[in-house]
Amino acid sequence: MLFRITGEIIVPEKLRQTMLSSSAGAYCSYEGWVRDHNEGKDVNALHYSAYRELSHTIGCKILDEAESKFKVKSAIVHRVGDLSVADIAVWVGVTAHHRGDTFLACRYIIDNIKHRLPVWKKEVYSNGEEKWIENNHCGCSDPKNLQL
Amino acid sequence: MEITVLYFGQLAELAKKSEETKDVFDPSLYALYADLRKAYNFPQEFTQLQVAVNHQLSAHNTELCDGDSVAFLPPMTGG
Repeated sequence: MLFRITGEIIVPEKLRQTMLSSSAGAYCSYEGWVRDHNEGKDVNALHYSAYRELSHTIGCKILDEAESKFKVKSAIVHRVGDLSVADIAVWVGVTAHHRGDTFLACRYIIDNIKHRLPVWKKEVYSNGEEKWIENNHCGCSDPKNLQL
Repeated sequence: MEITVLYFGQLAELAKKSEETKDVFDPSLYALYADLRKAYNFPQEFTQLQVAVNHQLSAHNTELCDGDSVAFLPPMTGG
């Protein structure tokens, strides 16, 4: 289990190396990227802020839940600070004996990051305006993953 | 009693600080947030926020004790 908040660029290839295991038959990862638009506005950058102490507690709890529920090994790395378009904001890695559990666990983890991890993002638009995002409810999350 | 208030995200930007120490007499989180909201024009109602006391998520009716740290948390938007 690995949980980390970092101000450094996320390099998935390096993180993948940390997941290698001779007992794992499957690996699944998720990368959240900074895209150049949201709700009709051109986005130039994102700023992420985290409550580090509480993030560690909740991040490890999400991983622990995923590992118990799906019998996987799992990891989260979330970046903070100023990010540019195409940067990786969050990386999730999961391994298991079989692929089915890795897909399910990976989605469980990112769904719960979106709703529970104490991290906040501000969008910076091409016209110079800025806005703190008020919710992450894009409809992507599986409701079953959010019932604790 | 002396309380350390921690600010993150939008609330840190509006308060122009990441933390401060407050002398408070009322142990209720509601009263503390009402004072802060008035001082810094925080947009959220108390019920829209989660609360962390001493770095643990806590119930809204938690009573503060001398030396506690408190953070009021808008809806999370990580990922």
